[in-house]
Amino acid sequence: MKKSFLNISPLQLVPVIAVLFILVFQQESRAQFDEYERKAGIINTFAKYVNWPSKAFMEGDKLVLGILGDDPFGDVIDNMFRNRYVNGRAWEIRRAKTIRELKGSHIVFMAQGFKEEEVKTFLQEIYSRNNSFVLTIGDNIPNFCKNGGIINLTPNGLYTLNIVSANKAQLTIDVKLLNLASDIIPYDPN
Amino acid sequence: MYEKIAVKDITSCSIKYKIGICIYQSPFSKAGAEPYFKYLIEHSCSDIPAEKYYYYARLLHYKENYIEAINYYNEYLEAYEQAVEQSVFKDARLRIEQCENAINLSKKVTTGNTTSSQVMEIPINTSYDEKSPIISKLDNFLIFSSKRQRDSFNYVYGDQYRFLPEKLQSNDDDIYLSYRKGIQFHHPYPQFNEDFRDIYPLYIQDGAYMLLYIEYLTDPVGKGNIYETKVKKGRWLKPKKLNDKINSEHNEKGAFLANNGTTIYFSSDRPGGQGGYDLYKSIKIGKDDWSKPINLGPTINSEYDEIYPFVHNDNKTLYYSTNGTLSIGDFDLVTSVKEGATWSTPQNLGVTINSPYDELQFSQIPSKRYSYFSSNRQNKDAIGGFDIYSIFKPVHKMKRAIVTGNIEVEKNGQKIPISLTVKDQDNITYKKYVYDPDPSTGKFFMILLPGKNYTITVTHNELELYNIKIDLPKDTYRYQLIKTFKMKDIVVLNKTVGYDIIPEESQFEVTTFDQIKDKKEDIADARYDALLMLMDMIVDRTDKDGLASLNALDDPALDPVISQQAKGSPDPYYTPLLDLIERAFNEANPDLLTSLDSMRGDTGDKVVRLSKENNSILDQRYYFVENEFDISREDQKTLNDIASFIKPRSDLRLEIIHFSQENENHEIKETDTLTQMRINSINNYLASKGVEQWKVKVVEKPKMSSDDTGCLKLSIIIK
Repeated sequence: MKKSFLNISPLQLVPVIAVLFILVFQQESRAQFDEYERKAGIINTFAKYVNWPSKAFMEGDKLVLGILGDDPFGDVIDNMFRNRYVNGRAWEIRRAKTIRELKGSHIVFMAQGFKEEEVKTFLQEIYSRNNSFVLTIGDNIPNFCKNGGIINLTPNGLYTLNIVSANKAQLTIDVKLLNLASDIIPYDPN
Repeated sequence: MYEKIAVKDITSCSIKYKIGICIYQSPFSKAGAEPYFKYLIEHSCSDIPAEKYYYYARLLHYKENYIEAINYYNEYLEAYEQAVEQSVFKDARLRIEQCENAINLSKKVTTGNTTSSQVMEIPINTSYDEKSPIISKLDNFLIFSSKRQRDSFNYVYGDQYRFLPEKLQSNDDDIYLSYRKGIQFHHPYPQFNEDFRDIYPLYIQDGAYMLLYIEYLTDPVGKGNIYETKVKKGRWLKPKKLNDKINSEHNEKGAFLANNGTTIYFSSDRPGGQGGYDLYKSIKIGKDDWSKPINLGPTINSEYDEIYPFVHNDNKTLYYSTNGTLSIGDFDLVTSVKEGATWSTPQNLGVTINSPYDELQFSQIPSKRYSYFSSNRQNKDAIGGFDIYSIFKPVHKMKRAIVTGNIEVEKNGQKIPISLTVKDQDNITYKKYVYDPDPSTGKFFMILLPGKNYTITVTHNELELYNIKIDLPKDTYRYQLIKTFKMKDIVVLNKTVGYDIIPEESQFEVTTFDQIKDKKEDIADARYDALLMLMDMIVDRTDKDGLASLNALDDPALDPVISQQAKGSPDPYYTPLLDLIERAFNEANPDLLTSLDSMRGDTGDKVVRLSKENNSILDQRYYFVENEFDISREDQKTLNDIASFIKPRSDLRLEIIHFSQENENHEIKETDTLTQMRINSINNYLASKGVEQWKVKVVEKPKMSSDDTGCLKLSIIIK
């Protein structure tokens, strides 16, 4: 039951079809990993190079990431962090619109879309209490570090780091994070 | 007759009860009994035993009205509350459990689950009992048993009758064989043409060997045995009874050969089991004997019946029928998988395949695409009595990504022929559907599974030139890659020692299935399908193994995309990204971090050695004037060349080899001061020319020839 077109040599057909496909579709260029896949990956690495005091893990063994605001990651971060461990701790991801709902988080990722005043209030709320061992990460938020945030992701793929805020939060930052920071803020915003 | 009386005495409860029980026995329409029992319950016929609840519950159960059925089973139990009839309680409670199973399993049926059973058409099924469908491994013929009239085509539809009239009844029983004709089957033909009380096939191998159950007219009623037979000169030989290890003085129901005929699985109600019929296995010893049967244990066997085992070609998936607590009513098909030495907890095949009636004698082709079983269910599709049903598992349409583009390597202005090897993150090599670049255009073509990371190794004359890493996101429809390289000879000391591979152009584009959908290019999907079909045909014509491996992809159990993320392991798709980020931090290399959104991850060998066998790409000997360690002016020149070659290349290492010397007693002397000074002198010279110390290693080797005397050898090797 041979069909006629099958009599053409298969190897001749392959390039023909390949060319046909290339011609048929208008292509869209797209980065290998998209922006928030890269940012999720960087958060995972930050967590590796930040040392929390042991009393920060009173609630259990998990490392809790709170995403504040409109979640830009979608399920990317869940898929990436599932079954991955940071210094032996599994990830837990929480999403909320208020700091109160994110209580117990070790990292708070602040999404874009907040006004500067709101950001200030959130940061004050986080660091107002003693022993709030929270690594705050801003998603390219203006004056995030100046307002007391610890790491602010910048559009060039790097980040700004406020070492004083990190110290106040009793977090030890590995030198590796200092090496790659595009800007280090060595002063107390207050 | 009762129906005739009932016309005269339309209110008699006991007549109605008897009519109800009669119709309940019908092989075609038990449901006809429902109004009679309903009448008895609604009219509180006190002279009728509480069995009326039981029969009514059974009828509701058969109608798949499980919740109501549970209510009436409970009524029945309450009526017998005072009685101490254990069997009554046990049966009704089992039925309640089975109704609950059905309710739970119904919840699991998801929309889009298209695996369901279909009754096979006449002439496979008739209004008589058709049972024991056994499909050949090659899916080219089906054998089964039928009680049809052998010499008649007098097929009647059961739904015209509650019981067949006498003239249509049949005393015949035979095994029939039907060859496949496309998706249908040819007219089946009887195989034995003898008189049996009962006969049905159990196992078939290549159409030339069969295991079967026969109850001859001379056997006690209901006590048949398991036989085997072979084909000789186109006819089945007289069946030979299996020995008493298999055929006991008790009853056997079903037998199946697995592991190339070396293991027999069978069901028997012999004592010593878990209760009722149990599944056993026995290993073949010599030509005709079997080992002592082993009970498959309490995971598989229960106090109820387990009958008709079938073992899939993989020798680890067991199907059988049970009427115990796993069932949703009467016998149901269940499956269990052997994991090492133990069987997994059996699972019901679900409500799309099982019914509250009997489902028996499962059989399946190795690809699992077609399965068959028999059932006496009475729904609108049933043809009558036991019928044969088929299960077609639709092909799981697996998305595959097309990787196309150009890969070119140019040497001295000429394109050189290259070939590609593709490996995924698990180091599995992909050979099928990988077509090397056309030597004139550089166009290549491959079909890969999306959701994985691949390394494409470019080779020329078996020399590995470059590794290109690509990541195919899960929904990749097409990945287009353009990479061009220049290959340059590396000349050191007037010798070609290898090639530099310099990446020139580097581009890629990913088109996802979503992007095609957005453009509403429905035609794209059709073209994609057509291409995949074409590829299948090409592989079919050129590579049978390739096709087999493609077919394996259709099976979700073997589906690498579905199974690639083992439970508890992270999604491997993100691993390269995370590794790269970590590398950026470890190396304090901001460029790596900032360039994550562009092409990345090439791990090309910058230097390609000329031959694989020889580890070193350049050897140079340095001889010294006796008792001197200064380097001559001439040697300094060659060392300059070597230094400038090594300096910019991080993957090269330099070995300074000195040769061990023996004393008069053939003992190896320790390195003398002079040799050490010569080594230092070369090392220091190289260091002064900028060669990093970590690239240089001093090695001692035994002296092989007189050439080695008083000399140091420098070898350049690729890390």
